[in-house]
Amino acid sequence: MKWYDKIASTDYVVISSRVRLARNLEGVPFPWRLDSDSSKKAALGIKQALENAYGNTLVFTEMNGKAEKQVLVEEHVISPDFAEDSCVYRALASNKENSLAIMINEEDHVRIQALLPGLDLGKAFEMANEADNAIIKGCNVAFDEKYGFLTSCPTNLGTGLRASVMLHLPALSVFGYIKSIVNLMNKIGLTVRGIYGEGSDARANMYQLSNQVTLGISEEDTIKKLESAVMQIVDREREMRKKLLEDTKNETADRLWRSYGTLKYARKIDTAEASKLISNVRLAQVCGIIPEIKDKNLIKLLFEIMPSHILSRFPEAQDASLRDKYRADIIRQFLSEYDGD
Amino acid sequence: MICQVCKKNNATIHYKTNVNGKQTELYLCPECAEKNGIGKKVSFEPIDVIDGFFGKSTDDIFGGLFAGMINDTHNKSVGEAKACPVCGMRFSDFLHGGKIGCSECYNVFSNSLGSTVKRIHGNVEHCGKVPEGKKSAVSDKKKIEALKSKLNEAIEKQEYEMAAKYRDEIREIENNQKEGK
Ligand SMILES: [Zn+2]
Ligand SMILES: [Zn+2]
Repeated sequence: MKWYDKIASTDYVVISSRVRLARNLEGVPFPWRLDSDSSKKAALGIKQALENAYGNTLVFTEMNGKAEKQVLVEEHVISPDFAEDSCVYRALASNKENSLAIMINEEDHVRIQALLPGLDLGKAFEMANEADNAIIKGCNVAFDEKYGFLTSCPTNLGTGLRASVMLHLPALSVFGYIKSIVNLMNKIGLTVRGIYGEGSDARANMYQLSNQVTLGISEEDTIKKLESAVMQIVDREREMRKKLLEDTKNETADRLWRSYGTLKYARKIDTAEASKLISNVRLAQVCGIIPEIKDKNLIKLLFEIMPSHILSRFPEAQDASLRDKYRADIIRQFLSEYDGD
Repeated sequence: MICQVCKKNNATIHYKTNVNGKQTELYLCPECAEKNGIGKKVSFEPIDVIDGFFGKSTDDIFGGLFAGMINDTHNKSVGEAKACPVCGMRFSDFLHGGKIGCSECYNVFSNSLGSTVKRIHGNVEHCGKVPEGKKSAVSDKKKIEALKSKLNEAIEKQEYEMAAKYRDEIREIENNQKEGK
């Protein structure tokens, strides 16, 4: 079971909601100033605090030397930095679905992340906050009345909270509105970014909207503000999806069916092209141009075609060109039960 | 400059993409730009990131920040040369790397860091969660003030259920304060 198994395949614009909290231990140098022994000592204290609260419902994984870290990166469970080899002792505490993932000794001593399908920032915050309380109870967390939670990078001071949502915006992209959305969001203190993973998420018209400011604004207000911006973008995207059908129906239908055709018959396909085409097919389903495939989750397919995912299923696929073949196979199999045409 | 796609025509369009913090620059001729969906009204090609598309990158923020800070330090000509007793960091290390060494650094370098924080976040103080055990009378006072303004707002909007909730929260904080003493 993965956190994204439950993403609705229907017309949801919001793919996922994420809340991240940055925390540090008082009087202990931040991870980048620790050596192997002292970082391990810090990590074990954090581990103990979590075990006291969660018992064995959280699984601890030492990251140093662990195989298949990139799979976790592709699933947005850990950051690319955290997957890099380091002399700092790093561990991940996570629940079964990885919807709660606590990175120990990333940029900060503790990075709590709650990641849920759909628009569910409130619940995500609750989950992260619970883990935070466990750490506060068991460790001496660095806090200053004026600056809030003290962090390794001063941009995270205050709540240490980064709330974000992943949005699928194919129609707004088609009409070229993304740039103006980015500018608008910047003006109200929000950031729009593509998401990590070989740049293929941006190719799939996936964007991440998150708060910039962490000091001087409460957790509740941060989330409210983000939610209301999300709702407005969702409305615009839905409008544009309608407009796409009204204004350029034939062109749209042609382009989207061609995307489907390529996916269905390709024998080799790279991540970027596949992501783009899957995004188009999802748009086609949303617009009713291509009937929805029952119980088939195109977002899940987006994860499964990522390089490290393929590599973990087919260890012999060391070569990108061979992966392209496996990728095409996976997609064809996914679409095989489908007879919409 | 020759177009990087067709390697024939003159490149007149400078196209920047920033994906996952990796910046790629592309010089294109108008033809190739169009083929790639740049500048077209309706395009099914992925809209890659155009100049500043993803807003300020961390580097940009820091570029500006550090420039300002270095000036500050020169202006004050104090230059905090001392090292943090916990992590050994000097303020100049922060100027190079952009990362703080430990929680104590915020005390040790409070003067210089204060202006950095202001530059990032504005002239504001933390409002939000205070960890159990670090709650002091001062932060309680801040909380009560915030709750009172929310209470008044709720009353104005005639949201009495919310008002009652805020009133109870204020009472709870006040009671806790009394018990704590
Ligand atoms: Zn060209
Ligand atoms: Zn220090």
